[in-house]
Amino acid sequence: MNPFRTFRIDYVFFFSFAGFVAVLITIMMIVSYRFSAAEQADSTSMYQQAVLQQLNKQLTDHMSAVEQTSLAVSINSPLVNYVTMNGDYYARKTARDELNRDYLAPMLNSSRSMFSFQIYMNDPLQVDPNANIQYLPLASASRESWYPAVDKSDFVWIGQREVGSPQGKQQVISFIRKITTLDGVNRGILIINVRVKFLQQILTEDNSSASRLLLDSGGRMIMHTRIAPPPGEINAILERVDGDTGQAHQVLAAAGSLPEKSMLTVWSRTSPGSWMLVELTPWKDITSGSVRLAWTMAVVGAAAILLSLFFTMFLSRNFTRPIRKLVQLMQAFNPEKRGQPLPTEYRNEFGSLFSGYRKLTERIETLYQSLEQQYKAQREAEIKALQAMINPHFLYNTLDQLNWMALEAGQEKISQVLELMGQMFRIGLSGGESMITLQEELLHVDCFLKIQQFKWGEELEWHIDCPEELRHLMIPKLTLQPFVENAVMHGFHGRRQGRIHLICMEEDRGIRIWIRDDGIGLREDWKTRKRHPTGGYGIRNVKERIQVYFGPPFGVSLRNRTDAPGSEAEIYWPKVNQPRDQKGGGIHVDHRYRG
Amino acid sequence: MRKSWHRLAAGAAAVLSLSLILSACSGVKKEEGGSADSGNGKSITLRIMWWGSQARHDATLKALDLYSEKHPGITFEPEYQSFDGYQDKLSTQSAGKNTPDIFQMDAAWFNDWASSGRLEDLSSIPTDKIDKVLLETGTYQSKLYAMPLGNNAWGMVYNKTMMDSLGIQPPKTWDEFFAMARDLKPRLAKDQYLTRDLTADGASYMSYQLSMGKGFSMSKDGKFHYDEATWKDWMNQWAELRKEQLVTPPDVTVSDKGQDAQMDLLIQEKILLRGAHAAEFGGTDALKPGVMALTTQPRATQASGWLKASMYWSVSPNSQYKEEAKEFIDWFVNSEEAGEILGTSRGIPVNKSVADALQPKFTDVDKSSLGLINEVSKDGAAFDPGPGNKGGWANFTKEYDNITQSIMFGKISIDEGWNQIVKLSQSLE
Repeated sequence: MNPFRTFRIDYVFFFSFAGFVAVLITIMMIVSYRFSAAEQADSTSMYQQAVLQQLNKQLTDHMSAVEQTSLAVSINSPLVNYVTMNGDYYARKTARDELNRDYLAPMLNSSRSMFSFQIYMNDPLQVDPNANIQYLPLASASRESWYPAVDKSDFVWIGQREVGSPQGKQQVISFIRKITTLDGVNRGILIINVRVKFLQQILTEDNSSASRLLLDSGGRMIMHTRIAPPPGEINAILERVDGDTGQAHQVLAAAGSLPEKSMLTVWSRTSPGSWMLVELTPWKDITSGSVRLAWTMAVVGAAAILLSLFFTMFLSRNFTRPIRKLVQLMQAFNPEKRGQPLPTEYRNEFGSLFSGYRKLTERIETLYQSLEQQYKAQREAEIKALQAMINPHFLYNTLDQLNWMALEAGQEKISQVLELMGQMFRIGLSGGESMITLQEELLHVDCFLKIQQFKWGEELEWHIDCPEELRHLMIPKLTLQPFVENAVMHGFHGRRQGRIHLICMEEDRGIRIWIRDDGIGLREDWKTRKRHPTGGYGIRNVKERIQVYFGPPFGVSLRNRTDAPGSEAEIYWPKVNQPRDQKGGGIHVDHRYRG
Repeated sequence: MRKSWHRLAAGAAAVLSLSLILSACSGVKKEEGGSADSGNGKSITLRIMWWGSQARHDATLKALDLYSEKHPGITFEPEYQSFDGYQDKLSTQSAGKNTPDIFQMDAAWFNDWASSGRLEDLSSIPTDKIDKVLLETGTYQSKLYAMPLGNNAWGMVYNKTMMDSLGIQPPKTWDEFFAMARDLKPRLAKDQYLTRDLTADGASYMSYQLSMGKGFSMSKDGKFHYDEATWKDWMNQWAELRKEQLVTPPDVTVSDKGQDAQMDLLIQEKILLRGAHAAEFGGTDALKPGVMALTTQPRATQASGWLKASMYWSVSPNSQYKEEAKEFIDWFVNSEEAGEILGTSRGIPVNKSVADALQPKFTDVDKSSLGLINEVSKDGAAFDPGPGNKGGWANFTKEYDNITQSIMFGKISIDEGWNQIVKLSQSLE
């Protein structure tokens, strides 16, 4: 079903245009969302990588400072001396006080990253678990969870744990190094604690809302800001790690997982064996800008759709208004009634349409009028013919009776006249046919003239000049007799003699007959003079009949002769063969011959 | 006709697409604005450092929280510890131009710090309700550099519960004191003593010399005032007690760490009394509630205690937020809400109206502190802030500790020790 052929044009136009705009805006929304989300993730991760690298560098600096300090302290002679010292309590106390006062305490006081020292050694003089510098028995080290890691290597970083301090329990990460004398004997363990808060400050310096993880080379979490993903998720993150810096969009859904699953993870490390910083940003946060953009576009798009709806409405209204007007006019069209006037202000295609329609209706109206006139004339002619048919029958019978009466009375001449009249009536009636053969029409004229000859004698001459092949063609009956009668009654009025010449001639389209006399000719005012109640009726009748039946160029003309005195009637009608339709009695003429 | 229609359509299409592009652009712009606007309403972190006991830490932290709550945008980065090593830490930080914005100052070092331009002028803080005498101690060249925080007095804290059960009173005189150390020992457990060995305790010796009418052993005139006879007498008394094992042995003595739950000998009930400041009493009491009491230092011909400002707030001249720091100090000393939280954690409040408002709410602990201050104020000396660290005094103090400890551990004789001290004093300017 083609909507363009089914529904109202303005509806189709309106809805298809609105739909098109809606689809266009939706596509733009989706594309811009997709594009900007990707762009956003890209730029975010680029930025984060740069930040992470920077942070990594800072952290590495701090860490390596701690490592260097640890090395320096562990090989420093006051420390080694103290750790290896035996014997006198006072000497050892003094050594420790000096070590603290002159070396370790200033180091702690001057460093912001190093928070406290823990030194595991044989026989510490006294154990203060809340001091900045703690001396602890070596024997207790093996109970610590980090001990196996240290035992295997000489130094190691360990992740977040709690230590006592002058400020209570504090979260720290620690660098642990064995104190080994030059002879290779392990004399103790030095631990430098770095406060987690301090590292967190570095990691959150930029007020980032993302959560960051610090993982050691083995993928163990050293510390974190904000949220700590469970180990399963850290493994998932590590699986995606490729190269020293990079990014991935992943869904973290391990057991004990975070509320936010879809994350952008960005990582950075200085070398494959170094610590790695990972930043987790909820995907939602990254795309929030794009979502907002898409919504903005949706709102703007809705406004645009609304606007375009009005615009489309306006367009379709204006385009379909003339069409609807035309349709309305066509439905209301009635040739008998003058309808509403057509709009004339259109100059475009609609203008042509309207003017075309106007011409059409005008022509239809003219056609109607002419048809009506024709119909009226035909009706009148038929009525007259019917009236004319009643008298002849009655007359015909009366004539027959008169003929008998004349024969009985021995009036030979009257009987002959009556017989001729009878013959004329017979032809005049001719079964109600309106067309008769030219042969019969000529006979009719001949009878009339013969009757006139009784009055005129040999002084009335006539000559009929008609080729044999024309005689079977048809002619409206009683066409010729009125002209002959006119010639005898008016042309020869007041004269002793007269001649009538009747000539038939075949032409391409019809037959032409001239009826010429040598009488007085037509009066000057024959066209305008008031007709005699009976006279002139015959000629007018013939004229009208030929007019009604055939129309121009066929017809009758009457004029004075130019070559000789007298008048000449010319009758021209189309060639009609034997009547084809016996029943209707109508005249069937090839319509080609009509005007 | 046709042409104009085409132009119209093209125009409409252009307007439509232009509006779409514009809207897209404005959307992006809005987004950028949104991401940039991640809230930067003036956020300040003030570093603040003090020494004290856990009770003081708790009260101070609570006060800081209240202040942050009342002043959005201001947060604190507190550093706190015991008195041991505090001065070293502060000095080191100062050398690194890294002192906290606000830090606690002691009368003993005030002159050094004020004279070397390491303190910010606090004269703009309103002080009309604050004790003029105390203010004077924080003033250098008529500018206020250290805001006193409380009234304090040097006296003695003792285990009242134990003494009551033993049917004794704390000693009133030094003679009683030494006699009690002897007499009481048999009634105590093997590792329990009346007092620890005060051989290496400079403050106690200062009290002793003061009570003997010989004045402060160190004074702000920067001169050496140790009295040989008094000093040797003091050292001999302790040597005898040590020898007879009537005071703590040296290794126990040096392990004492005041106000530490595990390492304070008084709290461990290894000893029954020790010298103390009135303002510390809250912290001591918190470690063993209701057991301890305050009294004056033993006297001889004169009283041996003294009155002083407990401590001060000073502001670093390198601070980025000096005005905010001063505002905080103003609130700390002059507002009743701060006074209510802090109580007597830094002694009796210096602001008279705050102290008066606090009076009805005083606990027994507060009343004890106030009692000692009142008692000492009868005939106690005014505190002499001493010579500070200038002119070799820093080294003298350090070496003095070493020498007295050597005596205590029996490494050198008392006479040898005195000779070393005198020799040391000659290097003073």
